[in-house]
Amino acid sequence: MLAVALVVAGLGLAQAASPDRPASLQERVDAVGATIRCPTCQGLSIKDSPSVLAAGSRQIVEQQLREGRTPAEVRQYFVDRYGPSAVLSPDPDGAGLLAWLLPVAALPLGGWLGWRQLRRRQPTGETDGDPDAAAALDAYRAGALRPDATPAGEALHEALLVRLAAAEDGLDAATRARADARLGAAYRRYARRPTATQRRSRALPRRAVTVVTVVALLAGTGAALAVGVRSRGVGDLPTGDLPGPAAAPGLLQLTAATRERPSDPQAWIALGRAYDAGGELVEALESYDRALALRPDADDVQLLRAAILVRGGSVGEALPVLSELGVRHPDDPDTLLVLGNAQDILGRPEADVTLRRFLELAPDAPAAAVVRERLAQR
Amino acid sequence: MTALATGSEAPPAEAGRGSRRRVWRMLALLLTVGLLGLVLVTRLEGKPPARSVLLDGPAPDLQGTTLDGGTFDLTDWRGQVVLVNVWASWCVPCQQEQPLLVSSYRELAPRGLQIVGINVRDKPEEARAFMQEFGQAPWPSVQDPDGRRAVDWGTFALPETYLVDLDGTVVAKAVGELDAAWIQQNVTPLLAPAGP
Repeated sequence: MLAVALVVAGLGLAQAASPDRPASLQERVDAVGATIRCPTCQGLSIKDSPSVLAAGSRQIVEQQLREGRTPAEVRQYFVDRYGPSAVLSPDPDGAGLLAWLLPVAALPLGGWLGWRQLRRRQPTGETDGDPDAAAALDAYRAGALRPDATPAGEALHEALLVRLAAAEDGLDAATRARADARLGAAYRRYARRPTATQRRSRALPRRAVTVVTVVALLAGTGAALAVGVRSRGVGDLPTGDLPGPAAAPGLLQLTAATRERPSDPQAWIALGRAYDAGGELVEALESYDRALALRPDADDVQLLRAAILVRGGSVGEALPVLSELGVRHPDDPDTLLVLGNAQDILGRPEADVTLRRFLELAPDAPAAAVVRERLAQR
Repeated sequence: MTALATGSEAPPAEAGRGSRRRVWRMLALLLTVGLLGLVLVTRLEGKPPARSVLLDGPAPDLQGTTLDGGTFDLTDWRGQVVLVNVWASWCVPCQQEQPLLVSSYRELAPRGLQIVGINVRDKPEEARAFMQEFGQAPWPSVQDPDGRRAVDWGTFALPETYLVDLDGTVVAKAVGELDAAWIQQNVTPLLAPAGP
């Protein structure tokens, strides 16, 4: 059982090792992100943390990696702003290494301690006081005395262990004598206890229960630590974590689809829309860029991309694209909406014209009510 | 039963073995406790440093679109005392500090104080509604939908406020909501003296 637990813990730690295929941008972002501490929450990396600032930090990591900076440079950026504690990776020569070794060390350590408990039965010494104590000891060693689970039985068992320990540890005679007296008294009480035949031991022998419990706990801890440590950055708390936005099953399937069909613009568009809906603007932009690289004349993707720029605050950057789209598709309500919105944010006078045209073409669109109200407020 | 007794008084050698076993047990226990202690120590380190690493250094850039659609650049305000307040409408302590900020502004703006906000991962409508509700702050706030600007300024959590001096140096940082005492101690000394 110990061996199984050790193997499980070992496998878990081994799986934390690096993968065997070239890393994608997302994987590189994750790898670097796992070494940077989330500013808001103690102990979590920005990769694992659901907090707002962690999300912002991840986007910075992604942008910098895309610009070609090395992981070390990216980490330095965070250290420059948050201090040396921003970085999570442990010093391999330092105490952090022990954080790795402890789960593996604790199992054999704990197992050894448990086994020693078992071996305490070694008989040494002699009773030279209480004859009942002597009788109890002899019977116990012979296997003829097995205290049951009654209170008297438990007390007797305790006294036996104490007496055996006193002998084994070579303590002074006075302590042994006290242990003798206690054992004798416990034995007498045991002999007097009301024996009910129903109380025939259904219970497991006590020592077996103790050992099984200890081993089970250690195996469970080892397995849990292995699982917890595997998916965390080193130095993180292996406690529960809220799922990040990328854990949505739809996103996983769509990402898989783009991996299977990397030259299918539809796959990238679908992924981009999913990111878009989830508020992951940078990822959405990247997906739309991929789609546009495959199909440069896809005006619908240009519009989606421009809408993201507007939402992200880069309205100035989006406006030229939107204006061109507006020229090419003067009657498309979606184009007019985003264009009009952008013009409105920038305070351009033609925003009114654009938005009114939108309302003419799509009076029942969900956004129409909002647009009407905004125009009315002027 | 006496036949089963396994011997007489424990010889001295056995007594020695017994105490050696105790020593090993103690060592094992100490080792485990020591390892656990070290693990705890390595996990507990990494609390936000008491002093921001930005202090006494040049202020990071701050540029972008503001909530009311304009553009902002912090370098335009070089030569003035500026409070940079990192906030969001979904941040509860920000609600508490907003009225204080507004009243401080009214009092200190004539003495040269400027304030700019960094609005983190917020919807512009909700941010504007927040400003309406909590004192109608007249200063601009740069939109930070990704939170990148907040990270650029080394923000740990919302709200945080940075004090930038005339020459563009970050001279103070408040973590958590502002109080009047902090403004008195840090901001007021930098400003022109009160009018006659």
